[in-house]
This record gives sequence, C-alpha cells and structure tokens, in this order.
Amino acid sequence: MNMTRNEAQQSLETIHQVQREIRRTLAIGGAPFYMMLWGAIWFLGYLGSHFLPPKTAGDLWGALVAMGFILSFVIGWKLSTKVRTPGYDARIGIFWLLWIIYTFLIVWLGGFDSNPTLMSLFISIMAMFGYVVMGLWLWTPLTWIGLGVTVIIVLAYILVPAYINLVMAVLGGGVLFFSGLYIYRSWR
Amino acid sequence: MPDLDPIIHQPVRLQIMAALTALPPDAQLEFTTLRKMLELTDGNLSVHLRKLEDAGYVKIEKAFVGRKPRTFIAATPAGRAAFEAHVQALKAILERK
Repeated sequence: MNMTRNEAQQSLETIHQVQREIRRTLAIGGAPFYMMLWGAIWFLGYLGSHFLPPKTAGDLWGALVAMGFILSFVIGWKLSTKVRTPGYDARIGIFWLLWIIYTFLIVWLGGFDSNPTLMSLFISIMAMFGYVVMGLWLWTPLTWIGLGVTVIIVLAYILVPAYINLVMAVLGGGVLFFSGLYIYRSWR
Repeated sequence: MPDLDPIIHQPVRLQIMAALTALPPDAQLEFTTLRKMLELTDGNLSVHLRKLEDAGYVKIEKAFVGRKPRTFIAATPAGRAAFEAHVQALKAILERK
C-alpha cells in the first residue's frame, strides 16, 4: 500500500485530533462539572457557617450536601450513557461509598460532631483526600488541586481561625469552582 | 518496518479506531456518542463497525441503560495492536527520506 508523506502526516494529525477530542469530552469530561458543583456547595455552605446561626447553617449544609449527592449522581448517570468502563466505574463508586462510611465512623467515634468547625474542616480535608485519590486514578491535575486546597484549609485554620469559614468559602470553594470552570472552558 | 493496515487505512475506520483506542483498555463508547463525534450517519458508522468487527478489531455489545437499549463499542486487544502498528507505519513514512 502506497502513501505519501503528506497523507501520512494528515492521517497522524487526524488521529491526534480525534483522540484529543474524545479524551476531553468523555474520559475525564465529568471532572469540571463535579468541581463546579462542589465548589459552589462549599462556597454557599461555608458562607452560611460564617454569617448564619449554627442551627440554620447546619440545616443549610444538610440541604446543600443532599443536593450535591443527587446532582453528582445525575452527572455520573449522564456520563454513563456515553462511555462505560465496567469494573472501573464500580471501583470508583465503591471508593466513594467506603469514603462516606469511613468519614462517618471517624466523625462519630472521634467526637468531631461536638465541634462543628472541626467537623467541617475534617470533612473538607477528607473530600480533598478523595480528589487526590481520584487524581492518581483518573487525571493528575485533580491530585494537585486536592493537595492545594488541603494546604489552604490547614493554613487558614492555623493563621486565621476566626475567619476559617469565610476563607473556606472564598478560597476552598472558589478554587474548586473556578478550577472546574477553567477546565470546562479550556476543553470546549 | 510495520505495514499499513488495509482495514484501518480507510479514513472513517481510522477515526473510529483513534477514538476507541483513546479510552482506557476496558472502556466502551456508546454508538450515538461516537456517531455524533465523527459526524456520521447511523448506516455509515454501522457499515464501518461491521468491517472492524469482522476483522476482530472491535467488540460490539448491546446493553440497557435504565430502560433504553444502547450499543457500546470497544477496541479489542488485537484492534489496539493493529492500530498501534498502523500508527508506527505512518510515522515510518514520515521519517523516510
């Protein structure tokens, strides 16, 4: 079979273009949506923790987290109609299920639930641990975002404990949301 | 030097194999998503998929997602190897003086 250099070059360019497109839109396409969703939830939840009475803030968090889980499920469902990875998808689901169980056990047995600030910090750090693991598994930048936000959380707790909720809203939620938005826009 | 694969050489099949091999080894791509991405008709995509399936390069599976029947396509290990050899052959042509 004969082929000129130009034709070979064109074929290779086509291959790269198709592969880039599919990786962007499918294989890791859900990441920016999850980041924007949970970034917005963090922002609203921590803003509530800073400005609202503890009881109202707690109720707000409960509603936001419930909405977050439902919307995360919807995003996952939408993606599963386009591409599926038997076994792989199950492992991700099992990881997050175990994550919820272990986080609940540590919060309960460790007595974090008696201190709302510590509890939300702990859960946020655990959430970022989830990002780190997902990054190692799926897409490396998630690991760096997870580590970066963890550093912000710890520094804010040490340096400005009185404004921890505000810092978490703006920097923690903001970094997640805008990282997701940036990835989404740059992939389009 | 590896030879160009006559099955994969065809432009539409080249794009199909490029798309499928971009996914993790055990991932399957849904038919409609692939069709839209490559801007093909149902019939055109089906014809090329059949040729690839006959060559043992892709595996086609029907499954239900919720209540809707869906067709999922994946590159087989033989298909991945053939595609990789084809890419190497293309690169060799470029390096040729």
